[in-house]
Amino acid sequence: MLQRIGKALTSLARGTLAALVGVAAITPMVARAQTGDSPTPARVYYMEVTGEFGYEITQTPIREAMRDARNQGADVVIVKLDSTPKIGEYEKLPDDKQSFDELFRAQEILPIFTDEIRREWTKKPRIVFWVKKAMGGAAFMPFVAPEIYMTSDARMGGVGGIGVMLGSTGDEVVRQKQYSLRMARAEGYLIAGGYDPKIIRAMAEPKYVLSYRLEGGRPVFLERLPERPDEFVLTTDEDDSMEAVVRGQTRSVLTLTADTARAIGVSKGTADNFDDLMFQLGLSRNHTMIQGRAARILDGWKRDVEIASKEIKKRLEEFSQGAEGQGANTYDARTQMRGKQIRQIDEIIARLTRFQEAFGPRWHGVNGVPPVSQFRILKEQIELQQLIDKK
Amino acid sequence: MKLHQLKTKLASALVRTLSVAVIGLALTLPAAHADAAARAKLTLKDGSVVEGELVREVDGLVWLKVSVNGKEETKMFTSSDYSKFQKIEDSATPAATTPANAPKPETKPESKPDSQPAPAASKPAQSDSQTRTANRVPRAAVLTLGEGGDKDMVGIYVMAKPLRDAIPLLKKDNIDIVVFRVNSGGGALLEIQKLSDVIYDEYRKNFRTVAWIDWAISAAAMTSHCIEEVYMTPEGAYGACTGWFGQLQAVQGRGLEEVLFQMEKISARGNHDPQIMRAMQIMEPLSATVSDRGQVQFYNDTTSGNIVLNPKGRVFTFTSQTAEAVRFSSGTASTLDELAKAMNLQEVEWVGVKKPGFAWPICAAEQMQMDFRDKTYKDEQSLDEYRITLDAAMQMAAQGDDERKAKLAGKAREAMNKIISAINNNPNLALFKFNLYPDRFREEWIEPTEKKIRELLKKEKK
Repeated sequence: MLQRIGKALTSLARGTLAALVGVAAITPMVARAQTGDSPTPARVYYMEVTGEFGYEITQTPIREAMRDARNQGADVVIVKLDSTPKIGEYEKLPDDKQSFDELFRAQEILPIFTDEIRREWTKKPRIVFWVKKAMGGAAFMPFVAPEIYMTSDARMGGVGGIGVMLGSTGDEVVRQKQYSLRMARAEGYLIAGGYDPKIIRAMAEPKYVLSYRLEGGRPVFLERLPERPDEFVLTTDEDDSMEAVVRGQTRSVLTLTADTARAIGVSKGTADNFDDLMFQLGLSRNHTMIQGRAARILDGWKRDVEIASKEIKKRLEEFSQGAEGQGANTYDARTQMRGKQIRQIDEIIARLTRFQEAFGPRWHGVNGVPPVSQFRILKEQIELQQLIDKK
Repeated sequence: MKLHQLKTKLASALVRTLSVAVIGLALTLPAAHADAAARAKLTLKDGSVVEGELVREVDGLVWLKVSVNGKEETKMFTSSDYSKFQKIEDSATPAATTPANAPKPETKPESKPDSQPAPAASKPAQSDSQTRTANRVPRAAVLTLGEGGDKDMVGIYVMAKPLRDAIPLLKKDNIDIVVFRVNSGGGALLEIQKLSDVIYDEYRKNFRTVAWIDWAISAAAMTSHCIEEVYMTPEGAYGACTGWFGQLQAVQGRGLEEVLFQMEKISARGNHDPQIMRAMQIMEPLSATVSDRGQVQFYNDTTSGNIVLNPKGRVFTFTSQTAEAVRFSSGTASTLDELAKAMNLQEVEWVGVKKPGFAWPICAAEQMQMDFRDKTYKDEQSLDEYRITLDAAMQMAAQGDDERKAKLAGKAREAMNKIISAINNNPNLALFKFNLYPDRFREEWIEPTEKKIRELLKKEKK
């Protein structure tokens, strides 16, 4: 039964896609005709937001790029999103890792595209997300924009876990409270972006059953399995096989692909290159590309945060080596060594503070670096030792 | 996301004197007293009539003092609630609707129409407060309850004292409308009643008081619940009020009953159906039906109402969509302009200074809240450091010679004084950082610590 439903979905999705592509092919012409009357072509600002969510994809460089777009008078801002979940320098996380709580990390980034635009831009730009991969916390980002496009191999999800993420810890009512507040916040972001909140529920809550049918070309969501041939399943209450998990074809939670996203109205179109995208946006013949600083800003952040990460680890190692030889020296030598240790700590604190947003709990855990507060205490203790030391 | 703990130990014992039925009666009973104050009659959209002392009238909003179960309450009605507003020149209460043994409520001077915020000294004096408000553009201020991130916890960053301290500043600014912009993930139960009291007893009586909810979770929702007029941001969330402690352990037994009862009473203050808050506190289902006339009926099951808000086995949180669907919120707004429109304000002056990074002008009262949070944040960050320094200095001193002891005792005293200064600024830090009641902090922490330091110095003199 499920297989049949799955196949029906695939075939219908393709049929729908074909039909919608036809519409999309007409739309740009209309748009061109409209914009053709305009004396000034749309100024388009493009940024590629890539890397590890929360570490490389983070608020400071994105905010700086958006301000550059504002300063350059952008009418349209295109954000290409390609997140790469990873554990450390070399180890990637599986795409389907349940990372719902990265919502709270996303919460620090999302206002850049909503509140800050309302506040800082005199004319609201058209924001377009072009998604290649948006897994984990990155999956929440595109929903703030009313226009999402995808590459044909796109995936958006990896935020399952609501209802199970706390396991059996504590009492059920408290777990339900935690799920409820998280779900409401995530739904809120979809509501604000103009999307049906049931979509994020299907992406986040295992075994939440969701189907849809199209009425007048628009999806109508149904919180049950399909009952008619023109209804299609998105999620079921069954467990996923390992095979399905590895291939990203889960049915217990929804991972959006280009076809599914298009079918349910999340994606407005599929584009594998920039020209295709511009065509579908209706801008191919009437735009000016802004030579912005986005690449320099975003790549600069990646470079700087990587350097900071290495420097912190190096200083920490030097500090530990210095501490080992602490007892065997003269007063002057000990004083000198403590001075050096304090300088090392100050350097570590300065870097941790500057890149605080990138160095989350996972980074601290993987790299064995204590939080800033512990370095401050360590410094205080060294100063106390110096205070009582005698020649 | 930081998980916040509702402290239950400090919830004072409550006497169960009010029933849930208070809410249902509120709109149908007329005021049971007659005095010389101006009176008014409202014909509500469902056809029922409410009559009472006219407390104030601003831009279509009407406050009437009505009697509920013999107790007097001031209720606010928006223009969408009523179809007809009629002032009654003759203040005599119709005998047919006045219970013979109805107690005569005490007339509180601050509730009279002429008790509105006094005009600034530079402004011309006017005789009638309603005329005063009607003749000028309403002045509104935004006050934040929490600012998200690390400065959002109720009981530490959202407290009754700075809100109370802000009232004179609001009056000085001639404010008519206070908008509480809420951005908090919750906090301590101990502060909820204090916050509810200051908002209900002082803000609502002096200003048109509005909640603009972005993120009001747990204690933040419970704090906001005494406000009748609620708006939400599109991404707003409101609810998830289950009390817990430790490793996600639920508050149970008497502690739970006390909080449930406390919130029944706070629901009555906000004129919200108590079943809403109950579904936010415990896993009780909730559904609702909105009639053609716009009346909303809530049910504690999933079958009686047309709209299922909370399924069985869940804890409830409103989104902007669900809140507006069942008229818990009066509208959804992401900007001040949208908010003003939702509030039916033809004109409004948002009072304060525009600052980069803020979506609303910062008035003096709001600056006070921001300064309070900033100072508390700095203190909170440093307290652990001071405390560990104090402990380390004391330990090292215990093993050192007299000279070292003297140095370390000085260091310990310095750390202690910094701790005392932080607690003086925000007494609740005693509870959260030292697990001590603020009023016992001196006795249980300062005095013993001072004694230990003195003892270190005594040994040095020997």
